[in-house]
This record gives sequence, C-alpha cells and structure tokens, in this order.
Amino acid sequence: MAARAKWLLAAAVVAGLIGLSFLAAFDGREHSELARFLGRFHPLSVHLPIALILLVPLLELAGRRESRAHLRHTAAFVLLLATICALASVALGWIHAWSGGFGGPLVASHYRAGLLLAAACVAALGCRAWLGPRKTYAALLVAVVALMGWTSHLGGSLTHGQTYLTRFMPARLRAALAIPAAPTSLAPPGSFYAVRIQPIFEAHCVTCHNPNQRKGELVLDSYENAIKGGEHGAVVRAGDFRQSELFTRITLPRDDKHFMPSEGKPPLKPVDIKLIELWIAAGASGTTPVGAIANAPVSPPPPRLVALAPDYRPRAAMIAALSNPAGVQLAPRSQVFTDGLILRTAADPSHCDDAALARLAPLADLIVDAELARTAVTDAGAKTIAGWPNLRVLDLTRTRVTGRGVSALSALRKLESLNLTETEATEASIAALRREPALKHVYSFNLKTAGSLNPLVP
Amino acid sequence: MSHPAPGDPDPCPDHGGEGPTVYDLPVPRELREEWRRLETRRQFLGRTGKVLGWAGLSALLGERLLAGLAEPAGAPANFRRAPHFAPTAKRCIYLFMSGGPPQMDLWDYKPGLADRFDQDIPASVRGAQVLTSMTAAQSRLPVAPSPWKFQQQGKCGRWVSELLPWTGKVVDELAIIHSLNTDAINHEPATLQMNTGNMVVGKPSMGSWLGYGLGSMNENLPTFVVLNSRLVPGAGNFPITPRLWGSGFLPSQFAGVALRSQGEPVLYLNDPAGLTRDARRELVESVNRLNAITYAETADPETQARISQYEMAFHMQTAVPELTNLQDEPAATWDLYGAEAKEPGTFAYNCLLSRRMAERGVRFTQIYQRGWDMHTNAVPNTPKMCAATDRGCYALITDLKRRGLLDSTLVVWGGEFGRTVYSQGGLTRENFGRDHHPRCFTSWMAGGGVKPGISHGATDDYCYNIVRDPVHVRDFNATLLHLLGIDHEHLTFKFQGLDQKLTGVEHANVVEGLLG
Repeated sequence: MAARAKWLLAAAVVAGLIGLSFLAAFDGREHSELARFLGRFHPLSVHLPIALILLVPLLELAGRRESRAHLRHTAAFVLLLATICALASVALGWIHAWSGGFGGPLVASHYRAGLLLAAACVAALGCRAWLGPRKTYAALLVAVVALMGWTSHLGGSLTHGQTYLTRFMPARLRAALAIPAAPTSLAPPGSFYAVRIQPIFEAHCVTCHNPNQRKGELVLDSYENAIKGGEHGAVVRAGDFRQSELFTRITLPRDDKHFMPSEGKPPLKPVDIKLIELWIAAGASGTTPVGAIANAPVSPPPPRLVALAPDYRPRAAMIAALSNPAGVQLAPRSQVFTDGLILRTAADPSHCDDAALARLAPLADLIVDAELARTAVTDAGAKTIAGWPNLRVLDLTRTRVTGRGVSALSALRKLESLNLTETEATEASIAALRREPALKHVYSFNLKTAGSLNPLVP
Repeated sequence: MSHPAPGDPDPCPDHGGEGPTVYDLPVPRELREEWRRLETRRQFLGRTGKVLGWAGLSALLGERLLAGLAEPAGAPANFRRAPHFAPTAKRCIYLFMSGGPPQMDLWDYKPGLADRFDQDIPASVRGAQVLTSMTAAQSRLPVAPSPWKFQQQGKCGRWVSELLPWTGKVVDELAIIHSLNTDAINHEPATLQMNTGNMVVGKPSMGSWLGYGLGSMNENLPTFVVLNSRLVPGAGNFPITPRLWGSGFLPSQFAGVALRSQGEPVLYLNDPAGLTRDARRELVESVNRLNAITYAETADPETQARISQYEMAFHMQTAVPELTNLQDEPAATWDLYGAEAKEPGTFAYNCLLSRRMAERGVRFTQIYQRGWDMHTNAVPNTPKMCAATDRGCYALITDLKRRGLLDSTLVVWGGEFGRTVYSQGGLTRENFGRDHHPRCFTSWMAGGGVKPGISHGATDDYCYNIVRDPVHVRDFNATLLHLLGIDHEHLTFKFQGLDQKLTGVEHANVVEGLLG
C-alpha cells in the first residue's frame, strides 16, 4: 500500500468514528445483542493501547543515548501499533456505549476524549514520519499521554463511579487535599433503613449524590442527608411515597429526562423500588427495625454465612462416580457449594442397602440430607450413617432399623430431623435421642413395636 | 394445498435401495417443502456451526438451555439442576378447585352481611368493575349473605365455615390468603393465569417450569403428575383442558402426565400377553436408536422429548402399578381418609395417591376438582362440593404431618377466582347463585416452609375489594417458586426474543409474610 493511501485510510477511520457518534447518539437504550457481546470487549482491550502509548515516550527517551539508538526505531513501530489499537478501542467503545444502554454527558465526554486521543496518535505518527522526531512530535507525544490519562480517568469514572479515587483515601490525605470526610450514618445497624435501603442508595445513587458531586445538592450517603433533601427541599415525604420526589424520579418512564439514575446508568430493580415505597409509606424512619415492615419483598437469601458442609466441587469426580442413576443419587441441595448434598434413593430404594451406604464413606462429610425411606438399610447401615458428621435430615421410613440402630444415631450432633415412621424403632431409643439439643423433629408414626395392628408387608 | 393425485407414481420411492426418508411421508408437497426449508436452516445453524469448530460452544449453550438454571461453575455434569438456594419445600401438591369456590361461604367470614340480605351492593363498593355477561344485564345486584354458620377453629382461632368441619381441624397448619386477585373474569383465561402465569394459551404450566428448572427426583415417574377427580353430580362442571398442564414452549417431556381416574391409570401401559420385559426393553431401545438418527439429522428437540418419553413409559410400567397398589397401606390410612378413598377417582383417593407420589419423588402433583362454578343452586351445591373435598384436604395434611413429610411438602388449595357476594338470578332465603369474582378470593398454603396458623390480607365488608396486602397471582406464584428454592426472576427460557418466566414481565414479589 502506498504511504498516501495509508494516511487516507487512517483519516477515513477517524472521520468515520466521528461520524458514528453523530449518526447514532448514545440514547441510553440497549441495542443488538451481538453488538452488546462485542462491546463488552472494550473494557478488556482498552488496556492494550494504554500500555503501548506509555511505552512510546519511554522508548524515545531511552533511545536518546547513542548506545540505545535502536530503541527509537522500535518506538516508531510501537506507535503504529498503539495507533491501530487506539482506533480499534474507540470503535469497540462506540459499539459498547451504543448497544449497552449508556447515555449522558459522561459517556459522551469519554467517547470524545477517546476519539481525540486516537486522532492525536495518528497525528503523532504522521508527524514522526514526515518531520522526524522533533519538537512538534515531542509536544504531540505529551498531548497523547495527557489525553490518554484523561480518557482513562473518564472511563474509570464510568465504571467505578466518580468518587472511585477518593473514596478510600486516608483521612489525613483527605484533609490535606480539602476533600470532605467519608460519610458515616447515624441509622442503627439493625434498622430497615440500614439493612434494606442504604445498600440500594450505595449501589445506584451515591456515585453522583455524594459529598463531592452533590448533584442537585442531594447527598444520599447517609440517612440524615437523604432526609435533608436537595436544592428543591426534601425528597422524602414520610408516609407518602407518591409525593416523595425520590420515589417519583425512580419510577418515571426511562426516557424521561428527570428519570433517575440518570446518564443511562442501570435503573433500580422492581424489588428495590418496592422496598423504597414500603420504607417511605412506613414513615421513612431511620430506626424502625428491619423486621417491623411487613411484606417487604425478599431477594434470594444471601449465601449462607455458615457452611453446612465443605465445598463439594473438589470431589466432583468422586460424586459422579458414586452416583448411580438407578440406585443411589447424590444431588446438590442448592447452587451454594457449601449447602451440602442430598442422598436420594426414590428411584430404586430396594437397591440401596448397608453396603451401598458404606461405599459413600469418602463423601460422608458432604451429605446433609439422607432420603432413605423404603430402602434395605438396617442397623448396620445406621451405624455407618452415625459417622456422617454434617447430616441434618435423615428419613428412615419403613426400613428395618430397630432401637439399636436408633441409639447409634446419637453420634449425629447436628441432626435436626429424624423420620422413623413404620420402623422397628423402640420408644425407649427414641426417648433417649430426643434429649439431643439440635434434634427438633422426630417422627415415629405407626412403629412396628408399638403393638400396632397394622402389620406391614415385608 | 395439493394432495398427491391418485395416479402419482410410487408414493414411496426407495432412493435406489437406500430406503425412504422423512420426506417420503404421504403428506402434502407444500408441507414437505416447508420441512425441507426448516431442515436447511437447522443444518446451517447446527451442523455447519459444528463443522466450523463451534461444537464446544454450541454444545455448551445447548446444555445450558436445557439446564434451566445456571450451572454452578465447577460443578459436576449431573449437578446442573440445583435450586438457586436451599429450598424449604422439596415438592408441591396443588389442590386445584376448578370453577372458583365462594370465598365468603368457606373462609372469608363477613358476619355484617347478615343484615343486608337482598340489599343492593353500594355503587361505591362495585366501583368501575366490569361484570360478566351473565350478570351485567341484571337490574339489581342484591347481597346474598352466606347462609352457613362460621366458628372459630384451632389455636389460631380462625373463623371457618361449618361446611369444612374436617379442614377446620388442621387450620393451625394453614396460611390462609384472603387477598388473592387475578386479572381474568372467565374460567379459561383465569385457570390459565393461575397455572401458566398468563391468560394467553401457549405458556408452560408451573409443574413444567419446575421439572425444567429442578429436574427429576425419580426417573421412573414423571416429575409432574395430574390427577383429575371425578365429577360431583349436579355441580356446575366447567370443562378443563390439558393445556393447563402443558409444557408450552418448554421441551415436551416437561408436560404434566395425567393419570386416568377410572380403569387403568395409564392406558396401554401393561405389556400385551406374551411380550416379555426384555423384549419390550429391546423394542424401546431400537425405537430410540432410530429416533436418535432422526435427531442427528434434524436436531429437533421434540425428537429428544420422544426418546425420553419412550424411556419414561418403560420405567412407568413397573413404577405406576407399585404406586397405585394401595394394599400396603395400614388401616390407619383408611381411618384417616375414609372409605371413599378406596374408590379410584374420588378426591380423597387422589389425595392419598398424591401422598404416595410425594414419598416416591414426584416433584409436582396437581389434583383437579371441578364443580365449584355456582351460577345457580349455590345453596344445595356448595355443601356437596365441600363434602367431596373437605375430608381429603384434612387427611392429606394430617397424613403428611404424621409421616414427617409436611415440613418438606408444600400443599396449596385454591381456584382460579372467587365468587360474587351478590346473587346471580333470583335471591331467596332458600337459594341463589354466585357469579365469577376476580377482585378477591381465598386460597391457602400449608407445609414446605409456609408460616402455619396465619391469615394474610383482608377484604372489605362486602367481600368485594381488597383493603389490605393484596396478593396477585404473580406474587402467589413467585412465592411458590421461592419456597421451592427458585428465584422467579432467574428461572427463564428464551422464546420469541424474550426471557420468558412463570411470573411474566410485570413486577412480581415474593410475599414475605407467608414464609415461616
């Protein structure tokens, strides 16, 4: 390709990218799924030109020494690479912003800064090729690095919020730079506000409504500030969510210019809106306990803080090997890896016997719930089960387990529910077991030893 | 559409000895061409994709599609269908009172109405409510107070109608919801909305969603079984259709399997005389091999559904007779359910069967009882319907509880809507009728992590509008899924460009007040 054609191409790409931003504005709506997929590569790939751009002045400086003059040749090549990568990143960035539902001045500034950076790279490349590495070129390089820093900062603000640099700044440095102190809320830790509402504000609002940004003079970093309101006065009217501006703003149509969160940031989830509605309706208190507001919607409960069993993943292969679809099945209790396993036998209970239980020894500590109703398990099996340290629920309905087997189960310190329906367990053995503090339920309907007139089919 | 003319040459050419293909079926040419076009598109998307080295990706995506819930990263292959969080209910039994039971005659006690007999309901109460075509033309809407007495039952002191003497005994186990409401005013859309979350035909039923999301606990029985109870003579039996337990756009193997109420529970399940079990096994395997070839050619998920249903039928040949053989039930069972439960097809029999299915790992059992549609003759028919169902409900709850199954089994009772407080047709002290009422109706849940002995929500003095804590069908279904360990926002299936959910696109909330 002739040199001229190359420059024409580069200029055309830059012009095209400028044109794109006029053709399709960032309207805060999501577009084409394929584009969204591609766009996601922008935050990933954008770090490549950053590194390359930083390398160029380093190479140029280092190459000033005669012995390292070859580095200056490398610089030309690295600058070319950096320019290509920058152009690609801007293109991906446009796809990301257009398709990903971004909008507002921040994303527009980021895009413009990126474009300017790419154009500056092209200019630097051209300057170096025609004029050689002189003062104009040096000035251009400084501009490129500065632009890169500014663009990166805007990008960082987009992803992490506009306070991401100062948020965890040490108090002393904060004071030295005259940055307001980090907020502390007076709402007590167990209150509805602290548990259900403040986290919503933190996730969606404080990137703009914080002591540094104070958009609309509203700060949502604490209960006191939320109640204080913004430039038009209070945004929360206790007891009346319809008259509370905070509530109306988050429930406007998404394309309304007063809609919050603004600038195309993700809107609040329906559950969050409902929580805010309930909180305001109940008086917008900072002290009402979390349990006092009835019918507050629940999101799925957070992962258990207490693990019921060790993570099952390291033993995945063993679990697969010991799970036989026709007989013993081992299923996870949930997608939480430390919720343990359920031992299921319903498909073919008669094939599950004492020997089958003994084979599960390597997984004993993972089994939290054992469904062994109508299996061939006997007292020997009960002794095996007594060695499963994390067992909480055990169903032995209609097995041949007797009082002796039941007595052995007292070793299960965590057992909460035991089902002995239609077994040969004795009242005495059950009475002894009931003294276990963890055991909440023992079911002993229709025991065979209770002189029942209901003999069972063997 | 042109059918092959009688004079056409050989309708089944043998392709030079290679045998006929699906294109040689005696179907109209247009249909065959349509099939060919579809096949080409599938080939392009499926097979070509694989040739280009996307095999890994498309296989992965396919598995994910079938898995329903997101696969926990790093989990073994057979661990795909785990609930989002540890559930309180492992299974659900849904007692569907088809037709719409009268809430003010059974559960929603309104003593103040006794003085308003034959008075018109105030316009302020009715508001802008659109009535059905059955009462819209009535010149008057006279209040028909419940002619039956109520008494306080259980430790919780809940008011229960004298028509439900048995269920009243287990009221301490129930969470009674007085504020359920629906969008539909006619049976078909209302039953569809309760069961599929949408009034429009074609969405999967709740049982299908559960099978798709959570998989099977016993591969020898369906994950979703439907039991239709026999009719109550004289009651208004509005028909129901299998689309209430259909799988919609989910793969067909997740559709509910309806057991028959008379004769063989499943038709043609038993082998004909002379056919051995091994021969049957061989037959099923051969058919499935042929279907596997078809699947490789067409990649139609319905072929896979066919394969899995042949397997299921084979397993059910032994599992269903064992399930329905009640010889091993102790005498205590019959004392509890009553002699009626020995008669297949009765509601009590179905309740007993649902308990046996709960023990055998059926995820979702739905019992339909038709006959609650009391447009006329509410006075003779309401007691009849209660008599047919009351003891079964009581026995099921009691039986599950004494056998230690109630903790992990969610029992749901309810219809598609309620009934009007005003009379349809003439009102006398001896008789009246009640029309459909979607604005408020009563259902209950029990077991499986539900808070026992409570009531939720309240209606106004006329049992016409909700005054506290409304529960929409969406909220009701979201709560049901929550109890089974599913976040309703995340059990989805991509269809027609939308991530479809049981709870639809409108906001649905889990009703926290119902959780134990």
